[in-house]
Amino acid sequence: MYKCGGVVVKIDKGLVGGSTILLLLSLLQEKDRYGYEIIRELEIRSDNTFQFKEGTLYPVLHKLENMGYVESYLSKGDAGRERKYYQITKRGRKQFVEEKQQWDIFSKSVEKVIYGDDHEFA
Amino acid sequence: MNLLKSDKFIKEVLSYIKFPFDREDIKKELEAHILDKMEYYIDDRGIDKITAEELTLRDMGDPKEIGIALNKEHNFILGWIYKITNAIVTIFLIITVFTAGISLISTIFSGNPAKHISKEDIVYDIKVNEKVKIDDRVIKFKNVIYEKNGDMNIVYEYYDTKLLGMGWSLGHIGTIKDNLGNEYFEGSGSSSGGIITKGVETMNDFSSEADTLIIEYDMYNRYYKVEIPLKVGDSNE
Amino acid sequence: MSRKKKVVRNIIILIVLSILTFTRGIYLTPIAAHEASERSIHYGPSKVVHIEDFDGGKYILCKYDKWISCNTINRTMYFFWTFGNQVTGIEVDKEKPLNFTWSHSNDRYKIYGIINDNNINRVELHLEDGTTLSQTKFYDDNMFLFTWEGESGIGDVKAYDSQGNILFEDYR
Repeated sequence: MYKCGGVVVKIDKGLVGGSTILLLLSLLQEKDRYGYEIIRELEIRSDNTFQFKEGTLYPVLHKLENMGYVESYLSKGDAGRERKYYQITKRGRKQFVEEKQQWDIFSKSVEKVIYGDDHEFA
Repeated sequence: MNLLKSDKFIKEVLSYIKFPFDREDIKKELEAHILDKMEYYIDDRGIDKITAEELTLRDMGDPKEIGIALNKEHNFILGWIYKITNAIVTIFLIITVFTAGISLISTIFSGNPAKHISKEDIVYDIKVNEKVKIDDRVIKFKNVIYEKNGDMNIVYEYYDTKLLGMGWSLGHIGTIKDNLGNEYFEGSGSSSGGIITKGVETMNDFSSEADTLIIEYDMYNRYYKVEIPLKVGDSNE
Repeated sequence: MSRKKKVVRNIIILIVLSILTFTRGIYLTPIAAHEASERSIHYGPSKVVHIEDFDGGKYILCKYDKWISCNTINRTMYFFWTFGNQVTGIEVDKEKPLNFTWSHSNDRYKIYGIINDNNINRVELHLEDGTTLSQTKFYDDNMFLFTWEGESGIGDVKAYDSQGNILFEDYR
């Protein structure tokens, strides 16, 4: 859901399409996280713009593991229940850099089209 | 969990996971998430348990959608191949360690092939430590023991440098002669071992006057000659 | 490691372990087994002049330096080969018109030899039960091999020239 002129609108039913992997890898390359932690962090950082059907996060995480971008392990963390943590791999970091570059190019191109050449937002 | 609605939710997700052995892990992961979210509603938002559960399950999404998407990432066939190859590797490793272990143990425990000779019978025991090689076999002559009854024992060991092969054992260490021109024929011999074969060859009525023992192998264009100086005369230990 | 990678790793381990376990004493071809057998017993490497099948293995007739031999290689586990027996042979004695030797195991007999007298163009083997085996085309120009099964032992060996004269005979 995003706020558009005060009206809260749902963006999509599942996770946010193509940039999902970029978002997840971005959070994981900072530190290892478990599923719920990732959801919370996404909500906090996006000022609740990104709100997901939380369960749909897990197929994506498992897919990332199958692709070798992350690895998982069980840990009790800081005095809590045992949770499955996800850790980014070397391959994952490489993939993150690539996707980030692609996103930069993509978003700049969109802005150029919308705002014209004069206004370049960093 | 004693939360009926959550259990039902998770059960439905799991019903779409075809590979049974991954279900338990997925169950635990979803349970943890649900409990975490409920805790948030209860602790941070002051909501009651029952409503918290409802809100949480609503936030989770559609169990069918989640189950189907998860199932895609837990391929049934790959899962079984994984399980089967794991089992075969385990069996193999056990067999390999076992057979290697037996070889190693029989080598270590085969001990000294000449241990049946008691010390009082020994006139002299000379360390030889000479090494020869024919084809892929390395033969080490360790020592020679001369007994009061005239028996001359040659203690040796050998191994194959191409470890993988299980080859023929060494038939014959060579012709045994002394410097006086006598030739001796094997009275008795024995050998045993795993990776390293240890053996002893015993000649009867070996001359007490000879000062050199000669072992000469000359067969099918393979040749070696080992000359061992002996102690003559006094009976040392 | 992803599951796919783990499966690949498992398969590699299985291949390596299989090679270590099953190739001990086992060879892919009869010639490989033959060469390994010779080397292990410190003989050869021979020149193979003829190979003959029997039920469960092959006879490999060879020459090496001043010796001749007829090694036996056995089939194992359907596809593979392993050492048999009678790896080493006899020394050739050029003084005699013909050298031969024989062996027998499990009702299988073999006689093989070398012809030193060029005039010999036919070798005959008479078995105890009256059967006659003969050879006129020799391997590598001068070696012969007779194999048979059954209980009948060797009667005698005769060698003839082109006119039918007996140049060699030996009774058992």
